[in-house]
Amino acid sequence: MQLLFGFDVGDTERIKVTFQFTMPNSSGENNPGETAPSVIDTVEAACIESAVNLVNTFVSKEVNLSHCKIVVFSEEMAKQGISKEIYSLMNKVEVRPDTNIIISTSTAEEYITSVKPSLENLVAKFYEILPRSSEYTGYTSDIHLIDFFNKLESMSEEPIAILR
Amino acid sequence: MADKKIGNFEAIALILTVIVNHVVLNLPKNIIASSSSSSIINVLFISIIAVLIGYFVCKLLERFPKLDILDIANFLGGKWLKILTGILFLGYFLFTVSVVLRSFSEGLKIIFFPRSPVAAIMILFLITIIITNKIGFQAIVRSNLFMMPIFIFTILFIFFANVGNFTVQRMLPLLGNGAFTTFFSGLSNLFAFGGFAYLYFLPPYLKDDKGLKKITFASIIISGICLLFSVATLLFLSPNSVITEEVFPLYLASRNIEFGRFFQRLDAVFLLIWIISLTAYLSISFSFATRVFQKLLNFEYTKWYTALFCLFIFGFALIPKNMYELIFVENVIYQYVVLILIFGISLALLVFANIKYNLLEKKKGAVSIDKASI
Repeated sequence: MQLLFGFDVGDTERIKVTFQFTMPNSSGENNPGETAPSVIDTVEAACIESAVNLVNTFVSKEVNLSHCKIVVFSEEMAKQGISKEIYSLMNKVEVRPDTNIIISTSTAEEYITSVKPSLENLVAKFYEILPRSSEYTGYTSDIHLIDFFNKLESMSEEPIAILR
Repeated sequence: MADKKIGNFEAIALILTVIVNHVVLNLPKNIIASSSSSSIINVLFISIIAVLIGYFVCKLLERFPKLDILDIANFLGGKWLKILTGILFLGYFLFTVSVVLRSFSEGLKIIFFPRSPVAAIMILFLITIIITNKIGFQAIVRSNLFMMPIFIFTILFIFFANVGNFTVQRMLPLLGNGAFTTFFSGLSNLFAFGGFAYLYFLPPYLKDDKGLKKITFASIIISGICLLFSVATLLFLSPNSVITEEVFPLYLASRNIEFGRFFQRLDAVFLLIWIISLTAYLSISFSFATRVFQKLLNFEYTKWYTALFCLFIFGFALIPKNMYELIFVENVIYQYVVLILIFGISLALLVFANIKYNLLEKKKGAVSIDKASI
């Protein structure tokens, strides 16, 4: 199950895409105190489609983006412009419009590897609950892909994302 | 014929299938593409025009109780005009079934079955059509009546569940690309009311002969409401550039619905309901096609050639080579076919038949037209 996308500026290609997957059957029920393991893979490609195809060549299961909770962009990438990636994500039927958008002050890869939920065993649940903290705190916001895209297309609004 | 009679509610549901299914496919998208922010005003405008046309059609059909458009064509121009009208309507029903079948199957393929051939999905629908038509017209119409409230509920539900995501300012400027585009060239959006085609064939099937007016107005008003809600949903939800690019825009709207963490991804339920709705629509259109064919050739039974018709539809539906060609057929050709045949040729036929009736009435004093005389 794919949980998270991370986008950085590539070294050899245009973008560096980091994928985070949960291990199948990693419900965390066997050892309640342990955090369920996840797998992180990074590839460089010209676009999202190429990156997904590349990952599909060495991952035993087909990558499915239906359960993708969060898309992370590095600040450097965001400064260069992320409209191409946003359009690609919007055009993919698998990606949900309520996927959250995060801009990371570090690289997206660093952000993903450093996420260690302390009060949650399941990473998937952590990613789902994380943006909802905007319901009880004013320090963050719950920004969905569809909101970001609508504002990107709008003549009167600027898109905003969660800064981490 | 007695066993094929249908009630008023069944008839209303039958006409509504057209709008419901086209709303799910590309109808609101086309209206938004042509009228932009004035789409809501345009829908209100074309709905009023459709009510007026409906009133006009009812008045014209009053002289010919229990007769469908083929009988009226026979009265006006004899056997050859009946055959010509029959061929046009037969072509229309088969064309509609083929295009809608292909379009919906392509959408399903993109969403759920990216590796399955589109022909396999179409075959499943065609098998269903053959089975429903073997069961009979009554069964199709009653099932459709049973499911219609659910079909309409999905459209209204998507609107109300998305209210929180709406940007109502998207309906500004009110006249969109201008008054000319909204009210004059926007008239072409009348093709949304393609359900009129069934209206011309309904009189012989109605239990209540005087119910045609009620059926016409009820179906047009409910169709208008469905169209209004679906157009409003898409217009308020996303920018026009997004709506006009989507395969099933209403599906896109349904994906935004969530109630807390527990009720998410309701779109699969909507798609299941729309598949049932599409099956009902295809079965009804197919049933009318076989009935027109039967009437043209005076066949006693329809059941034996339904499979042949399905093969024809299957072949015709596979003609568009890609989505671009399919969208062109669906958006442009279908639009002109409806406008020319349903609102042009058929209305002209009814007007001339009424003129002939009046002339004969003046000549002979009184004319009694019934099936036997025709």
